[in-house]
Amino acid sequence: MDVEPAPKEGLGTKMALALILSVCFFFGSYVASTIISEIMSRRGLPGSPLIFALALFPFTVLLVLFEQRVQDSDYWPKIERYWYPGIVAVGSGIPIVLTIVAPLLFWTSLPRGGPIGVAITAMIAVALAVFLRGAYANRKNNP
Amino acid sequence: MKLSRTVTSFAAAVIISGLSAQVASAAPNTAPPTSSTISTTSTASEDAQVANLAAAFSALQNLPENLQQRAPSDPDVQAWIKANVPNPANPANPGTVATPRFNFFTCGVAIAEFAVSVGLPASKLITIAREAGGFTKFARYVFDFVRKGSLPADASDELIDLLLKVSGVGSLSACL
Repeated sequence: MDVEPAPKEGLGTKMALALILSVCFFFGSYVASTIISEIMSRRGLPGSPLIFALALFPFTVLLVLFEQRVQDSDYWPKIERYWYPGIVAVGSGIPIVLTIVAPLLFWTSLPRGGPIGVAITAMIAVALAVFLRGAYANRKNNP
Repeated sequence: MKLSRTVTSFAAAVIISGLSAQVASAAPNTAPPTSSTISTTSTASEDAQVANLAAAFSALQNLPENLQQRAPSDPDVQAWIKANVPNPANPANPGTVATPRFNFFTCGVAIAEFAVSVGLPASKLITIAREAGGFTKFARYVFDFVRKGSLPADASDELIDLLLKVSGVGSLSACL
């Protein structure tokens, strides 16, 4: 893969970065959420992780805006150990808890195992779309 | 590797046990045997079954390495068992292998393995973000890759290797 210098970022780019983080946190927990929902004999896709992903977006915007400042601060060495697991726990752990206590199920006509299939397919589709878009851009820039 | 060998051996054991049960149920019932013939015949047939089972298990130990990694239902594995594992019902004639039925244990192990590897990418997120030097930097790498098909200069080779390994898209890099 080619390597080139990172450009200066505007607000739109920061929003895009926040969106990428929201999507990553969402898919970081959604397959596990559907498996848990299936184990609990519930029918349909859990809706609360989806709603939480929307609510998480402002949090990821703040993360993009302030993470560098936190890392440059004096107390960073003290909190570094807890920073990554803590943020992933907020971003991906809370949806799993919500799935257990308030699943807000939808598309309940799906057969057993269907929600897991939908979640995995969606995750693979997004990863594949990212990869194919990158591959296309790479070929376009380096014919 | 060990797991697949265990699963294959277990499935083969189930097949052979099933055949033994068939042998037992196929005991001759043409004429009512006397008590002495029952004890003699059953002891002899049990001994024969035990000997046949032992022969079948020892034959299974010679299962080739490439087949040990495949599912017991794989046609090549089935063909090998048919050709090499003696049938307890008729040791002179290998073959007549019963199709393995649904096994709760092997199915449970497979689902658990799958759930951990696919269902819990949150742990992968921690690893990648830590290696990248922050969540924002990781998101920037993804963003730059989507937009330009390239990675920023500060992305280390170690991180790129890690991303390819952890995300599982490493094998797709041949498409680039």
